[in-house]
Amino acid sequence: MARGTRASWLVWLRRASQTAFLLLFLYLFLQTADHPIDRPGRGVKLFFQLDPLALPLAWLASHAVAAGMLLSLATLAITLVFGRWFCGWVCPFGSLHHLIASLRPGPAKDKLDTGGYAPWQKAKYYVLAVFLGAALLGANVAGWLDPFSFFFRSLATSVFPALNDAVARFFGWLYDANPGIGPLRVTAASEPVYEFLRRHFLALRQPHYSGNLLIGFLFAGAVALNFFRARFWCRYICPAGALLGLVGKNPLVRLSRKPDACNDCRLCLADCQGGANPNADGWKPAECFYCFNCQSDCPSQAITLGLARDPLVGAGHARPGALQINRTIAVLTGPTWLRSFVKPPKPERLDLGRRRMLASGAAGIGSFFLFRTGALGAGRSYNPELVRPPGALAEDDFLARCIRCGECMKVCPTNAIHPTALEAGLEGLWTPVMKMTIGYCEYECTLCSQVCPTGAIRPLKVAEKQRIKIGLAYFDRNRCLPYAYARSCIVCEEQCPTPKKAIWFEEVQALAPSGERVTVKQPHIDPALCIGCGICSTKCVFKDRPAVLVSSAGETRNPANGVLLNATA
Amino acid sequence: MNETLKDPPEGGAGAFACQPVFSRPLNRRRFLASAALAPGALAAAVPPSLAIAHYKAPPSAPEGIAEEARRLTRAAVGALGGMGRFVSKGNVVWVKPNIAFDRRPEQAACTNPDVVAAIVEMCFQAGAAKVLVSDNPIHVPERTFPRSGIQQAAEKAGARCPFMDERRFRAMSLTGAKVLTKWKLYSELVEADCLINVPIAKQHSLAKAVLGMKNLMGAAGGDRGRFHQDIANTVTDLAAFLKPRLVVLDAVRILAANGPTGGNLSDVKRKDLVVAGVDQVAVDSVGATILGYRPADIGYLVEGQSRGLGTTDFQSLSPVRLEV
Repeated sequence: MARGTRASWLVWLRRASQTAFLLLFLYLFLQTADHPIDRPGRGVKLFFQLDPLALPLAWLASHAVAAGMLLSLATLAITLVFGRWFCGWVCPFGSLHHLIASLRPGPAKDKLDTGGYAPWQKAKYYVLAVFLGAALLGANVAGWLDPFSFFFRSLATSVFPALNDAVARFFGWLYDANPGIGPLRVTAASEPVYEFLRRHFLALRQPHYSGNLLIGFLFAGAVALNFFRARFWCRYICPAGALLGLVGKNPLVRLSRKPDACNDCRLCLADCQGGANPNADGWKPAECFYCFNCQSDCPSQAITLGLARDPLVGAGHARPGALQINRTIAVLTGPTWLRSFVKPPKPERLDLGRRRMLASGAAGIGSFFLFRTGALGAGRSYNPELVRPPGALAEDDFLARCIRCGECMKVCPTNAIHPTALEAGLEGLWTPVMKMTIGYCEYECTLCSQVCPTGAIRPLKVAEKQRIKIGLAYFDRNRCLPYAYARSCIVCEEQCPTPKKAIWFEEVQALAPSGERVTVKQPHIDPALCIGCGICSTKCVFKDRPAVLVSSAGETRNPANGVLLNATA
Repeated sequence: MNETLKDPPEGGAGAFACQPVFSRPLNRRRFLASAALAPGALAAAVPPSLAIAHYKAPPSAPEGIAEEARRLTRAAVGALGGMGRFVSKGNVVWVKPNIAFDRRPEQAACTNPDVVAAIVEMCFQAGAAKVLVSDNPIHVPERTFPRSGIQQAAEKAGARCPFMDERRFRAMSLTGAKVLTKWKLYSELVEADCLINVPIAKQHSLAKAVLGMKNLMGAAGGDRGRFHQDIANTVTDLAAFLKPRLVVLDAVRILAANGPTGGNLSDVKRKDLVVAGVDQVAVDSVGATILGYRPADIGYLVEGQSRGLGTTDFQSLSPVRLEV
């Protein structure tokens, strides 16, 4: 690429920006952890607050947005001027694809063949239309394909745990084998390195997530598609890119090509990231990431990206009538830069087809009704497995807000929060669910409510959190040791964290296998005190299926799923 | 709440059950004087094996309680002959407080941080090369260590507070064990030159009381919940194998109900006591008395005595009683 031509410094600037934002994203990912005590790292929600897709969808679906998300208005405002600059310079997921695509082997000729625009790139707009249609009525499923959600969720539940395991196993192997010569042992060097990695980069305990395989497989697939087309995700799939394309389809910074200088060599296509046709086929602003590769690559220096001062330059494909109108405006409005704000030229119409867009939107609307008329829809029934983190809104409001980003899953200190498979229906795929066999809800902890960028889990103070019931524990007396086997246990009672324990016990004479009567303490639950934190379940001696389980019954957030007669219900 | 904390020595639900223990109050000066005057100077040459320090005028401000905890600890260990009796120059010392829960010091679920800090300081004064303060907690260590205040206090005193590393638990054969013949224990804790057990006194529904011997469960890995099926033997197995050189029981505050997690300040009682001793059964027996139990009611104390780990009849050791 950059053959020492005049604009290569812009390419380097763009690369620096991409690197910085990608590293910032990864840094904030690692910071999404417990910083003693009960504080996440600063600014961990930043990318979701800049997310141009999350804001309109949350607003459409829930008619309310978390204040921080208004930052994304800046993203949208910049897009009006610079088009999809965000995709090319900021988006960390885009930068990852960019990096992988640049590793693509093969001759430049193949790149020339695949670098140009393909009509299927319109698919992402229809994806967006489906999401918008569903969100219009309250089903916010954009998180499936929101680029930040997709990236963060994949890192949190799949990539990071696997990397963490690999590093820990490597150092664990060194620790166990401890090879060396005489008194010189490898652990003298490896253990301090491992300690450093553990403190700054690794998890303190190996995390495990349900559904990690599917999420990891999709992530690997999304990355591998770069070998088929550079930045396949950004060109064909990304609904956030589609939204930015629509907002920035008529930007002020534009590509202008000098037809006289251009010899139609099409080299500019070789490194085009978005399939935006910088060549003679006609530039597509809604597909351009402003990566400046074409300007840098052009051997004839025919391509310039810049603020089009004269609306007539670069208007190669303007309709004939527009030329006259623009001239008129030029006379009427004076300075050319001002004119460009009033009536920028339209280099290439983004023609998505009204019918197709409407059909996609209708598909989204239709899917909402299908989602909500399933068994779990609108409070007709409740899944006992669907225990949401404390502070989660009532199910319908929750689904209208959650973008499935995985922040809560990453930050949970006990590894209790997992992405759903179908516990919340297809509509709720990858939303958070608590699995008490793996972790429990720490009584003094409010981290998930602090990192949630959308307010699907609302911000909580500790005292308020401790009053929220996320579910209710119940005993399986066919397994519980003092009931089924006349053995002492009550680990659950020991662990119960409420100030007045929600687990109490009864001393009974139980029949032991020997035929003797032995005194054991059989546990019971006070449903008024139990908050469903699940530590009883996590610490139960039965690991496969604990003898004390938590179901969603009695959860504060869904009054209709309550159990007890309360004055307030 | 202050009313509850200043629980008077006599009467009430949190009755000062060990009142007889303090029938012969003694401060350091009187102790030394009596020791010097004792006709059998030989008796003074045998260092005492149990000391109970009580604070005369318990303060209510947090800084005051911190100072109280430090002074009580120094006095109790001092009465045994000072830390030099247990820690030699160049020793690696493992201090094992109870840091099991994500609870603040005033909730009395974890050992008082100032008791721990005072011990760390005394260890260094006795010439310890390295002092490690750690526990295998029930909640996650990155929360329990700082929340209990133990990490800050111990690190300030010069100790290191590493989180236990899963790989360093090693299956060990516990000699003489009845139940835990082989279990995973923390290798560095076992290999330390000197183990100092620093429990806090708490109520426990199954074991009745969490004291020093039960605090040693924090040296074990694996699924410790199973210990509950035979708590007397499992706890005694651990205590017999680990044999802490010194036990310092924190009863500045105790958790009298809803233990061992606690959380309710009205379950916390002020006792303003620190008990130090070399006989782990005897120290725990004093602790049991403080909590309002007879040592004979607590399975692991009975079992410990029958295995010769110590005596539940702590009075027979002529404990040194100090009013600080």
